[in-house]
Amino acid sequence: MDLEVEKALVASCRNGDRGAYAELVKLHAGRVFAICFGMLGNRHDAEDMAQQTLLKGFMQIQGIRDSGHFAPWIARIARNLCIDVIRQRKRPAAPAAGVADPGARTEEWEYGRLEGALAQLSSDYRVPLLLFYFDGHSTKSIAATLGTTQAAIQARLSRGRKQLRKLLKAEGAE
Amino acid sequence: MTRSSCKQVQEQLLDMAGSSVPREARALQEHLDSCPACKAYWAALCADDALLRDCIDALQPAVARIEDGVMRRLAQVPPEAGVPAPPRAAPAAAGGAVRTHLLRLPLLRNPRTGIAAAAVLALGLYLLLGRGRATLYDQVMGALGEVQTVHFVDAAIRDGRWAKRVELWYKQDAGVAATVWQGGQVTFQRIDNGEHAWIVAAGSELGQRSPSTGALRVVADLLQTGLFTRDFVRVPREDKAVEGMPWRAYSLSNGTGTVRLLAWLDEASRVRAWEKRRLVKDGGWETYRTGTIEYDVTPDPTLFQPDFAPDVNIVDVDPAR
Repeated sequence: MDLEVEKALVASCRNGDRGAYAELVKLHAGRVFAICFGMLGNRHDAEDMAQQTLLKGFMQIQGIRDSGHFAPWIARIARNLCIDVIRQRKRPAAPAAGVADPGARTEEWEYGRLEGALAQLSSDYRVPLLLFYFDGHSTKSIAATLGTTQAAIQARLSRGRKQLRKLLKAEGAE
Repeated sequence: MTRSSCKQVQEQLLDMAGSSVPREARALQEHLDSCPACKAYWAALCADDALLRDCIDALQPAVARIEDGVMRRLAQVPPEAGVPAPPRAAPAAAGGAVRTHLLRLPLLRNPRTGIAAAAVLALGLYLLLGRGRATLYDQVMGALGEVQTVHFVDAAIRDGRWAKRVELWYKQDAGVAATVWQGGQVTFQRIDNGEHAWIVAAGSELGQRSPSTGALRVVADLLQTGLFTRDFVRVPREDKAVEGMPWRAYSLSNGTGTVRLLAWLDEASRVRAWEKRRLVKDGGWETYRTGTIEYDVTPDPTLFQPDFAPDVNIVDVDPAR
């Protein structure tokens, strides 16, 4: 997204323009959801946490230091909220059921297996992997969102894919 | 082919997953052409990539719900007041799925009643709020509640060929039957006759039978009707006339503008076709998924009868337990 447009939207939000925040929500909801899903390993919890993140973002918009860096700022809020949830859980989330929920729809059966494998990945790999698909395949953008280098993201994506392949193979999801 | 060179090749392939082997990587392509193990590894990485793409596509309604939820809560907040916290879901037991409360409403357990109720509710809101015209979602859901039969084919395309294909037949009061093909083989079957739902995966000796979740709900899920709550834009230049019937085109882009969903609706607001396109390196658009839906084709009634291979053992499962 055009940095100047994003800056203008953030500036408008700080002046109380909720319409401008609605635009930011539209632009970043997928990315925030990917981060929460990546951190929590459970899409239903991630949906709730993404809502909380975006609401907290609205409440704290006055505190943003650089209005051109909304993406890393909201990503940080998401990660901090998810870390709180993980601490409250006291134990890591078990992998999602790998076999079909009989009430689920056809494709969900396949996605269930994928989610089961994703849930077993380290969040260090899961977060960039999900962002890759939610964020238009740009390692540059993912690096900016997560506050790291493009090379580091590329390496985490490769290792994540390697582990995911092993997990899917082990589950027989060839 | 030495083991070490295969290892190096597979490391390189990991970096290329999600795209394609560049033409200039001639040595790598030659290795792939002559090494069945690396070729199979590359095919598996491509399949993982396709599965991830499909899975992320299927999560788009969740993103729409997040947007709607945030905006609804913000609308409740008076200026200068605090933002109410969204209701927290109970922690997922052992990481299991937390179902949305909406699906637990008894009214919506019956899919026909649920979808009809959604259409009536939408119409009521439309009349109450005087919005002038029903939303696209209202129109799509209203039309779906009226259909007698559905024949739906969805294909994921890779390198110009079908990588995966889903075919679904639905007949009111008979049920729904869905089949998934990958690599020319049936990999998955689901039948729901309104009383029971059967799920059988290819190669598995076990199948599952559970209480029906409702045939029309399966259709609504596969058609991803939830997407129509989002901001589709009308694109008249993509309109079609099929067998003399006008189909209206609507487009929805992802946040970064790199993926576009085009959907066509007929005069009765029934979804008739869609395409998913993604931006490619040369700036053009590549279609990677297509779907077509027919509504007036009577299915073979035997499709809705569970008739699996004799060596498949069907196990009863009660999801409520």
